[in-house]
Amino acid sequence: MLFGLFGPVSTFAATAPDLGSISSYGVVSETLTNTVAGTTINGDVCYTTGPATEPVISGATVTPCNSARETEQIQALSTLNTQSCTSLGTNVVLSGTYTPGCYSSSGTMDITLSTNITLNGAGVYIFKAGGELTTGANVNVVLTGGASASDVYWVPVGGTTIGADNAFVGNIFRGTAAGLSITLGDSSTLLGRVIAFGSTVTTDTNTITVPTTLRVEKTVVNSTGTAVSSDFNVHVKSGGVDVAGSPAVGVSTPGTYYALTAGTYVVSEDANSSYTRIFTGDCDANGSITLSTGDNKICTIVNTDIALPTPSTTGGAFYNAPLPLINVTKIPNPLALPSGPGSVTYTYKATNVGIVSLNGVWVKDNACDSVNYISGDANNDSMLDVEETWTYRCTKIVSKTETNVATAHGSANGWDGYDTANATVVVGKSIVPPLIHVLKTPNKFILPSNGGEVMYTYVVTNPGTAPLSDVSITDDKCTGLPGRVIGHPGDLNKNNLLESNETWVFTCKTNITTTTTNIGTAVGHANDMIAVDLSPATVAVAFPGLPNTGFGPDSMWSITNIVSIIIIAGLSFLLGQKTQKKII
Amino acid sequence: MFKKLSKLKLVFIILLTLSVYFISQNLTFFIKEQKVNNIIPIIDNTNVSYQQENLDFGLPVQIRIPKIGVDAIIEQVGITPQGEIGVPEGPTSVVWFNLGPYPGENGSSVITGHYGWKDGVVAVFDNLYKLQKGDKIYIEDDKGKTITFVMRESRRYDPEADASDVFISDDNKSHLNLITCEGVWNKEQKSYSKRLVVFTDRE
Repeated sequence: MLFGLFGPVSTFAATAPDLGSISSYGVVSETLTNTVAGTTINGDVCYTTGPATEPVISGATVTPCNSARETEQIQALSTLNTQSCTSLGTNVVLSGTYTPGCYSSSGTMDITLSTNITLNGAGVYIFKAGGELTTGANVNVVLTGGASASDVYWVPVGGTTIGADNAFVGNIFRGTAAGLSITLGDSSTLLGRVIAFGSTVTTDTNTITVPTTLRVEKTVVNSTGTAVSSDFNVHVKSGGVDVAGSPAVGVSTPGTYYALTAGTYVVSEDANSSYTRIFTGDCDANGSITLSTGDNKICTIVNTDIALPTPSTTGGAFYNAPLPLINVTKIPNPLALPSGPGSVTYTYKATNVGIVSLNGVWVKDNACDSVNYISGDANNDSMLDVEETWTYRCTKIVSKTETNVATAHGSANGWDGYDTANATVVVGKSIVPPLIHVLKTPNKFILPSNGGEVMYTYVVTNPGTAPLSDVSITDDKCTGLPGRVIGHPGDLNKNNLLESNETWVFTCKTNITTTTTNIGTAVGHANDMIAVDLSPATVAVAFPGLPNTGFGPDSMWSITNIVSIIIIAGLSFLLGQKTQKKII
Repeated sequence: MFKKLSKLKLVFIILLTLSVYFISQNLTFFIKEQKVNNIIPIIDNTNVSYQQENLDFGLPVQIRIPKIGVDAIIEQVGITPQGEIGVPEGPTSVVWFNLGPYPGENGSSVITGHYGWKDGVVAVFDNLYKLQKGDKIYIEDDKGKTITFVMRESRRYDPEADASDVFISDDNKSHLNLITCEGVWNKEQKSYSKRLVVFTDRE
């Protein structure tokens, strides 16, 4: 059977596994066989039994492989093997062009002599074979349209034989049974990794290069604006100079791939004054990122035109008055309309997560006009009391895939508090969009005029159904958060996916000296879509009021003065009486 | 004869009045001295106050402003439950806001004192308004060091105004700002209509 995909077809979206420390290895093996000079491995290598002729290895050589590599290999294979794939049939011969997705053969998977196959488009490619993976001589795997070698995975049940003079691409895993080998033919190159803990890897005048990539993705959260990712020009620079492929127009997901060498890079974009910019993912708050060999990192730029409260300093009147803090979640039902346009009901839950009751509470949606209060005001005082949650709903016909933003508002002590939540409904496709939620709370709402330390807590959850990969958490004014999250204790099944039954909690400490609003940003991915949530919190550094330092004119009528006058008057009277008697 | 007696009575009354005043003012004076000698004069109703540690600057203990004849003891205050800086108990001393910088430290240090007069004693900052640009203020700390400040300007604020500029400065220099009241006395509110702030820079 010969398969090639030349147009838009329905394929299962694929999710990349976490390679862990394997990411820096060109070869992981039990036995590395290499009998002639001329093999170069740009990356780390590990083996128990070494080759007769040592290849040129640019990275570390580790003997034997640490058992942690086996664990990482098993976990990665588990992630790959549990994904649903588009079946290409039995004993498949690959050719032509493939778009991102998972493809499987129930038997062998071959690429015949002098065949080029093209992987077109940014995203994850998984090729699973029920038998062996074999290529003939002069086979080329060509990457176009933003495809990245880091995101190509070959997962055969049997062994792998790459023919001579191939230009092969991707991460090749060993077969299921120990002992199944991976062999690279004479003079072939591999932009990828050979991952074969417990098995033999044979090289022959090959060049294996571990790919080092940076993926830059953009997402725009609109309130009233209409900008999309492609309206922004994105740069990746090294030493102030654009790298190859930069600048490029912004791409939402999976973003724009850059094949780079190890080093430090700065991501930036041409400014748009209508939008704020937040860097998240693996980038720091300024867009800087450092890549090591084998890294496959993500830098996400989040733009929003949502107006957040402008902090201002106040006098003593509000010194002891805490600021409002409100949080909102938004969940559409249904999340997807595969059959086409239909009715969607959005449910919004506004919660007072601060320490003072809120008045003037409302929830609005930029794409759903009739947001109605349903319930929650238990004591009917029209105040959103502390820890109280009010439910709102809005129903509309959604005719095309759209992401809309809800804004919740509450006031207290002369301050306004806001939070936003956005959600996507997919129309015309059987894709469940991701949802993510972050709740950020400070441990102090007010500091004296010299400022002090504040600890923020971020609770990240998945209100949707699709597990979220590549979850990241950042704060624009608090450093110390992990960025992209790996190995969180709240990850119950240790798969680095944030699932709907999990809660991932983070904390960040910072010193503030002036009233500060900072924004926690959580990002997650699923089904080739991105989910973002922002959570602002304001901590006031309050200045005391001017003192009342005046004594009024009535202070002269003190008790002392009054007593003195009475005494004087009395004595004067007595003296006068005595004097008069003497005269008489 | 009647005229002579009237003169005697008048002299007697004047002497008696002066005696009573003298005694009463001495009592006030002694009470003040005792409080100063007991030091740690944090005002009772202060709810946000803590002793700052600063190895480079001593605690301010004395203020002198020769131009207006001020030579007063400096106490310490924090913030009242109403969110205002505390004030001195009596008319003769001033207070340093100890949640801000030390006098001499970079930033805006703040000292407040009373305006008006109480029990026949003129308040320490009653003539603060007479200071002019270039006049000097001397602060002595508990290590015996004297720091000199020079008046730059004065401003009037409403009592509820945002006075953040009194408490912050971003020029990495040392400032001392003196606060008192002035304006029209409001009997009901027991407050003057304005607050006078004299801004000074370290010499």
